[in-house]
Amino acid sequence: MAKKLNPLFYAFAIPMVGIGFAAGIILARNSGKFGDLKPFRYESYQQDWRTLQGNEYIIRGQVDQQLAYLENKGRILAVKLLDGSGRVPVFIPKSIQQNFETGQRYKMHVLVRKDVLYVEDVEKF
Amino acid sequence: MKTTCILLASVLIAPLAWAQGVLPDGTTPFGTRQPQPSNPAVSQNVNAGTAGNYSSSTSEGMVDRLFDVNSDSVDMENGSVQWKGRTFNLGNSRVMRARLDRYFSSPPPNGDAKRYEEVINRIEQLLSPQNITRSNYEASFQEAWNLLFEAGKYDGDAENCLTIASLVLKTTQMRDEMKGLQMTKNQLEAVRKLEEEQMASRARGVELRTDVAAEKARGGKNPKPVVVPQQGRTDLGLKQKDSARAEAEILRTDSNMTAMGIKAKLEFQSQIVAFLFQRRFHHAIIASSFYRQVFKGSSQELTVGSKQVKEMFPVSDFVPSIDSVDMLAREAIKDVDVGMMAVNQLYDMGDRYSAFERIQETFFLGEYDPKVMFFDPEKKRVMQEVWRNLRDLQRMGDERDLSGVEELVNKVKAVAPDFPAAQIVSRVNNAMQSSNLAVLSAKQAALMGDMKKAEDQLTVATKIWPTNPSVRDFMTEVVNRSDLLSQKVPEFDRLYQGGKFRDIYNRKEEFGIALMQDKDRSAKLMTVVNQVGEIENRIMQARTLSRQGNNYLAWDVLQMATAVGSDDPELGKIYIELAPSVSNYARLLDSGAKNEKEGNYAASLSDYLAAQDLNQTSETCQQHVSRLSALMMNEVMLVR
Repeated sequence: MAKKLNPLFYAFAIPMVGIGFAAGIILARNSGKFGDLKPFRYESYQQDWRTLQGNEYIIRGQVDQQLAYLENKGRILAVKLLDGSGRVPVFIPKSIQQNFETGQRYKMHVLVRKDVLYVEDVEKF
Repeated sequence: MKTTCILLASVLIAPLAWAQGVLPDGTTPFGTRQPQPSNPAVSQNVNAGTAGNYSSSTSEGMVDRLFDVNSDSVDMENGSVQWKGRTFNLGNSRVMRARLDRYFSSPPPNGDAKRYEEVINRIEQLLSPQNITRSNYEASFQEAWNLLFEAGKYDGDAENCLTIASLVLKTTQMRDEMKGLQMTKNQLEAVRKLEEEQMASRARGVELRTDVAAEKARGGKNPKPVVVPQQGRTDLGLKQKDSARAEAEILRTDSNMTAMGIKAKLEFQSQIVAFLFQRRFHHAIIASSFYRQVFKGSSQELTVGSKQVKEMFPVSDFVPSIDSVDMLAREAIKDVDVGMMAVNQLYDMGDRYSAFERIQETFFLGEYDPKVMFFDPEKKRVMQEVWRNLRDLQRMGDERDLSGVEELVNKVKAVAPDFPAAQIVSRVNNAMQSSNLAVLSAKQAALMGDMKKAEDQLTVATKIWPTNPSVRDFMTEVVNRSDLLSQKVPEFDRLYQGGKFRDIYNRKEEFGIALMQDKDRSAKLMTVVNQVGEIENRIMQARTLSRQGNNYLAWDVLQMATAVGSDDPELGKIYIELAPSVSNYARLLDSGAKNEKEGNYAASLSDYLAAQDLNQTSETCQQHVSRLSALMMNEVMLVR
């Protein structure tokens, strides 16, 4: 005859599983290629981009549209932020060889150079 | 004969051509074309007092017994009436009109018209070839001659019958005188014959004595020279002289008789022809009837006025005679009778305009005919009313005073319902409209500062309708323009320098008139009107969008208006109205503009992207985004 589990076990285990799952997600998000970078704060940029100059951030975003392209320079994309509202223009230098298409999601390592969000590296996800 | 139906009033509906004008082809912009005009130029624009062409249709069905019949017409310009291709001169147009006016306005001649006509007819009847015979010649001739004195008493006769009577009497006396001369001549012939016989007898006596003397001289052994006896020779010479004197007397008497006969004949013929050309046709018939009785058959050929009478007969070898005159006169009388019948019939049917036309031509042909002279006074009064109204209408047409035409046309129509009023009114209205349009065009040209065009258009308007009140108003405006100029120029300058374009725009018409000849200020005014007009349109567009709930788009439209002129007070008002509902959008646009100005293109682009998120259909935002993207791409530096 099977031994019945104590209900207290369920009461303890289920929250723990949830916490673990959440922690896993957090870890997953902060881990990877740009795990050590802080997320980009759109509001701060809009409010006063000057305070962000020289900083590096990670942007998790979805390509909204390509705004400009120059073969010997690169391209400017409008990226819809996944960790907040709004779109920002980012500059992708020509050194980053990647096919960017509308709707694709990328993690982007950006450097704030003056007011330009200069993309250092990208990772599709 | 054709009906051209041209009336004095037809001048009004010319060209107009006026009009059509003029108008037109001469035509004056309002020239009227009457039905079947015989002469387009005349019918298009029949000037009063010049060429009224009154043609008859009454005689159209009549038999033309002799020759080609041209249309009957009254030529006011030349003062003549054409009747069956024959021209009667009536004097100049003024006299013709005066005569017609006098006829309409005067009462009929005194006396019993019927009795006068009976007397005239009786005289004609007594002398007509079918009634006069050898047996009744003396009595008929005498009765006819006596009746001339009765006819001469009537006013309508103007004592012309007395002239005929006098002529007949004179001719009769001449005949008696001729008889006396003939008797003298006969006596002279008898004397001459006696003289000749006596002369012959004496000559024979002288010859006998001469022969006897010669015989005696030859007889015997010693012949002696002949001694011619002289007895009786003196007497013979005297007798010869007497005979020559008698011969000369006879010749003188002969020539006197011939001259007297020719003179009487010419005088009588002159009077007959005069009657014909004066259109006193009854008198022409009576006089020719008397002539026929007084003069023998060999004198019937027309000597006086034969050329003129011959011209009435287009037959090359035609020989005019007293009978030709008689025939013409009778035909004319018949035509007058038919004409007056038509007048009465048309009048009784209510077609008084047509009756008026017929009475005109009938009057000019048969002015002295009893039927015309004694025309019903009441009907004549109505005809006179039509005549006067038409003359007024004609005068208005001459002066192109179109404003009163319709009223007068209705007045004519009230008296003469068959008057073609609609056509006239329609043409006149067209002419008035054309004139008004030209004035409008002149005003517009003046407002635009195109004075040449304004003057041209004003000339056109005045030509069509000289008394056009719009022309007068415009002229007044032009006259007052100098006053306006002195007031408005400083005011305009003050407003312009103060940038109060909205105030200038609100008073654009008055400034337009005042500054129409000031090229520089007119150009400034035009710029202001265009600029504020565009702002005004944008404001209206923004209000509509706002009412539809599209405040962001309305804001975009206001931004466009601001680009045209930012100081407009009306624009400021609507900005204030809209601002609370679009504050975040407006803030983004301002921030974008500020960053762009500072050269922070990426930040500016970020602002416009955010604004576009709020107003996704905004073309303005899209334009900003495109522009800033290019600027940012151009600005960004690559990092190795």
